[in-house]
Amino acid sequence: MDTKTWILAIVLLIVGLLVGYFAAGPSQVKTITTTKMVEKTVTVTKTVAGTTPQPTQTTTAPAKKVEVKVGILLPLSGGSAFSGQEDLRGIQLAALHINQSKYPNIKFTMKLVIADTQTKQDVAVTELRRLAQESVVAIIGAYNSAVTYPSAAEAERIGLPYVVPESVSDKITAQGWKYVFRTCANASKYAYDTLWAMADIAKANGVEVKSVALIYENSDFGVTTTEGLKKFLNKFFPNAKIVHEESYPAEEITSMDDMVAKLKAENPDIVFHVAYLKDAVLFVQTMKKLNWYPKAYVGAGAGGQTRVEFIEQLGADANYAYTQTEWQPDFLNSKALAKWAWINDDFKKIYGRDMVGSSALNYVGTYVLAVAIQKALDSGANPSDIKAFRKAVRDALETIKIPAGELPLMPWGVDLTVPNHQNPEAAVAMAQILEGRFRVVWPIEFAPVKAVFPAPGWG
Amino acid sequence: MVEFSAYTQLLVSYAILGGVYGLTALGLSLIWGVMKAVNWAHGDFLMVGMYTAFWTVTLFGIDPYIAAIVAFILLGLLGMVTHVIAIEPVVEKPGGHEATLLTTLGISVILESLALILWSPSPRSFQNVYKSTYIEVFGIRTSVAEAIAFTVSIVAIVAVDQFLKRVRLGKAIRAVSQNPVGARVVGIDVPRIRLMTFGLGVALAGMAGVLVATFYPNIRPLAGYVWDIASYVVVIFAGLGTIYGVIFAGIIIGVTEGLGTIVFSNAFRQILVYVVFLTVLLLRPQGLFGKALRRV
Repeated sequence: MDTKTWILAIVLLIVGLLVGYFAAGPSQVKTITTTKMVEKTVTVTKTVAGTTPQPTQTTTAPAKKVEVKVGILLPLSGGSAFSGQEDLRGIQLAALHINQSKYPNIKFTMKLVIADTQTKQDVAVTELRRLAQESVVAIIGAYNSAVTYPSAAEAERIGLPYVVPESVSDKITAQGWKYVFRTCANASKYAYDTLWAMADIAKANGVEVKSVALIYENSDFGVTTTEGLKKFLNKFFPNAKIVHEESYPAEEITSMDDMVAKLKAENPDIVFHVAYLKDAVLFVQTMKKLNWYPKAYVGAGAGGQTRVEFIEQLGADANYAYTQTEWQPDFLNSKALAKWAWINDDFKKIYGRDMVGSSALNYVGTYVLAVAIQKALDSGANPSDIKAFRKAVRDALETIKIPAGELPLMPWGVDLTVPNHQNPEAAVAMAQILEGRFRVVWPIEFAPVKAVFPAPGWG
Repeated sequence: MVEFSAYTQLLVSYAILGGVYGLTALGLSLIWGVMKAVNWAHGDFLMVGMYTAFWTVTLFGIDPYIAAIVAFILLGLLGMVTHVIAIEPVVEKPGGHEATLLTTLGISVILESLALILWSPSPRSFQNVYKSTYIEVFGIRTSVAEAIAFTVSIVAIVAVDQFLKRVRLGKAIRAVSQNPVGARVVGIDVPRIRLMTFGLGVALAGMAGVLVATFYPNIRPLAGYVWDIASYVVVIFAGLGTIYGVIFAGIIIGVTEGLGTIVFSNAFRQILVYVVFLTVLLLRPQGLFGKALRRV
């Protein structure tokens, strides 16, 4: 190739990468400055005034607050970008509320330093190192379990506290790492609660479950969740047999006809499906095409079926699907959680819709870290001595115990005093899509509606 | 285990899918055959076609198959602009064919990034009656959207073949494909033919994107990726530049993929396809239909 050819090719690549830089939004370690946060604070507070029952609202940031940098590691581009963006919304709202002094117990301001994992393990590790050099006191991230795991290992090596609000793979907290803390449930707990929920629902509806099928996408997320389902299946369904089990590559899949055909032949009572959005939608479409529906189709792992896009894309065909859910707006109708409705109201004012499970989980993770940072500050640790302060935050995280009712949004509490730093109190609820919306159907005693079991099929 | 009768259903389902693979590969094959250029951005043009369908259907409420015509025209224009910017300046230079790989890679990054800026990474889809309406023949069931996509694939492939055989411009494209120097000698405007070919190839990718979007979920900036891979496999499998070959290769790959998953498991989905693919390449490096069918 001659020089001109090379120059043209390189110019095109550079233009593409530049456009990519801006397209990825806050991916390449952009800093949201305190000034920006304050500007946003004023706007939001004005619009939500009167709807927020929280005390001590302020419209400007206090003058002498300590500012603490927190690193955010999320997939803001790549295959999981849309999930990463949703997570970021939850984190940014929590930081906004903290900086607005909506939580009287938290007195510092939080500055988010955001990095993009691009849904890649190596990029996540590199970005984590960069965040560490930017003097962040802790990390929140990183959505994909397969990405969280190696980046958490690196955080452990560096001595950087790492809060995991959403990645579920069991092994993340099974290593005995000192700096890694998970506020959400792990895959085993997801599996446990899912089986518990379906067993309760089956019992309440007088349906006997004799056979189940397990299908799952073949990454860490699907594999570990399915291992949990297999481990606890016979505890809740003593007579049930697994009649079919199959994994598949979620990114590459173009058809699920074969899988549905096999399931149709076996006709299990319940199909547990660990899926992302695209494969979940494709699976239901294919069930309709092949005119088969089990007694219950259960989204396990809350990856695909729990997203609002699942309903948007399938329309009425999404009805009767179950999904694990960490959070639904339905929760705020309960007496215990109604006091947190202002958070979702603020989210709605900014983004035009309700929070979803992932934004709520990330909000909670950010809040928990903020409580720990405040504890570290209260203990006299100096944020300018970054190494010592990180250690102080880690030590504070290890003492965090927030009872149910005091944790924003969630019906459960947080206990990070346990040796593996896996919050044992985090739980999962079960929702069913009824008349085109997610309705909480379990725990039954808190459910506003009764589950439809068995599903009526395609009629 | 799947009952024997269900195999017929699956065979048809995967043959239909393979037909769609053929359609997604058609534009790539045309460009490859005529210009000996690898269009790395093929899947991204397909993605733009998907978004064209989404926006025309949701904003104007028109039928998705009319959106296919809109996409064909819009993407054709986009293809020509791309050609002027990224292909023509390099294609005749020494090592120009390799350079097109790099320049189209740049176009690919630009398209994906622009899609992220303009439409965010959130997946979209549009409701249409075709994907939730089914036809059943001899107990074999498929959605109308898939049946139409398959039919259009066949029609498009026949139409492109006839265009190349009977229309003056098509004949010129063939001439350039077979001997660009000779074509220039007899007075054919070779750069113009390349421009038209690239435009047509991208237009076909755009149309394929619309048809895929009628039944396949998740329109998003990286949505072209999965169809991109299938397209490359189909084109190499068929033999560079063959037109009818892509439909047969598509169907063979679709059915092979289906058999791998039915007889073994999903883990074998790609393994079996690539085993067959490599075997064909070892035995027939020119591709399965490289000689048997007319080269463009």
